Amino acid sequence: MASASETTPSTTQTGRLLVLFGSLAFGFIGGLIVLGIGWLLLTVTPLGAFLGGALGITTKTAWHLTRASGTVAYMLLAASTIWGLLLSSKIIKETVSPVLALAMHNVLSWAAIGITGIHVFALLFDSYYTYRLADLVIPFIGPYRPEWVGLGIIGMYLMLLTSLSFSWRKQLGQKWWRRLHYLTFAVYLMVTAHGVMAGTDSGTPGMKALYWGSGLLVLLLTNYRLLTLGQRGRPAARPARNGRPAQNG
Amino acid sequence: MTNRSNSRPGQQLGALKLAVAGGSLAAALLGTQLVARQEMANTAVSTPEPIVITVPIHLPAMQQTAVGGETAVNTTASSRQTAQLSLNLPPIPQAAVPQINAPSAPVQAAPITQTQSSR
Repeated sequence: MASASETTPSTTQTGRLLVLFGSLAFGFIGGLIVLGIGWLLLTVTPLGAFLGGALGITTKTAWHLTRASGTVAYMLLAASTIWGLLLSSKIIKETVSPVLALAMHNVLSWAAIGITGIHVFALLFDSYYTYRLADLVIPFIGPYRPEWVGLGIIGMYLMLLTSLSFSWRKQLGQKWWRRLHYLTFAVYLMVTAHGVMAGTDSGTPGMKALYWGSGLLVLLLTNYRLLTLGQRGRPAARPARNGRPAQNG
Repeated sequence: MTNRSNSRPGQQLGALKLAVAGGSLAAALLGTQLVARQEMANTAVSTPEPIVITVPIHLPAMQQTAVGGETAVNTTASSRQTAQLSLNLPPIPQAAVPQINAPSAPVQAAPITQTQSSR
C-alpha cells in the first residue's frame, strides 16, 4: 500500500502532462490536416473555380470573410469569457440550470474556435498578401504586422488548449484544470490586442463599442469574482451550542 | 416516461449546439456580405457636376505656297488666329479613403501580389 501511494502522484502527474501534450499535438495536427485538405481541394481541383462562379465570389471575398469571421470569433470568445465569469461567480446559478450553463460555456468556446478556423483559413486565399500555411500557424513570421498577428496565433492555441481541457477535466484534476483555465484571461487579452492592433475594422464605432463593452464587462465580473471569492469560502456564522457565535477560519 | 424525461436535457443541449454553431456561421456569412456592401458603397462613384474648362488656343494662319511642285507652309506671328476650346470633362470616380490604422513604426515592404486600393 505504501509503495502504491508513493508511485501514484508521479504517475498521475506524468499522465496529466501526457494528456496535455497529447491534446495539443492532436489539435495542432488535426487543424493542419483540415486546413491542408481544404486548401488543396479549393486550389488544385476545379472545385474552387466552380464554387467561385456559383456563389459570386470575387477576389476580395476571402478578405471580407476574414474580417467578418474575425469579428464573430471575437464576439464568441468574449461571450464565452463573460459566460464563464457569470458561471464561476454564481450570478446565473438561480436562473440557468448548471448543466445547461456549463454546456453553453463549452459550446461558445468551441464555436469561437470553429469561426477562428474560418478566419485563418480564409486568409490563405487573400489576394493582397500572400499567406503561406506556415505564416498562419507559426507566430511572428507573417507578412502583415507579424507581432500582433502572432499574438492572435498564440491566443488561438491557448483557446484550443483551454477548450480541450473541458474534456480532460477528470484526468487533469480540479486543481490543474483550474490553473489551466486561468489562461482564458490571457487568451482574451491577447486576442483583444490582436483585434485592436491588426484589425482593419478596429477603428469603426461598432468595433470600438465591442472592445470597450466586452472589456469592461470582463473587468467588472473579474473584480466581482475576486471580491466574492473570500466570502464564499467561509461558512456562514451560526450560533454555537453554548450560545456564543462560532469563529470562522 | 423515463426515456422522455432523460432525453429532454440532451435535446436541449443538441438544440443549443445547433443554434450557436448555425448562428455563428450565419453571422460570419452575413457579415461577409455586409463588409462587401460597405466597401462597394465607400468606393461608389460620386457624381459631381461635369467640369468644363475653356482653353484659349492660338492657331497660326497658314499660307500654302507651291515651291517646285512641293507644298510649303509659312506661318507668321502677326497672322495668328485666336480660338477657344471647351473641354467637357466627365465626373471622375472618387476613391474612398481606406480604413487603415496608421502603423506606429515604419512597416517593412511586404510581398504584394496584386494592388488594391481598398486597404
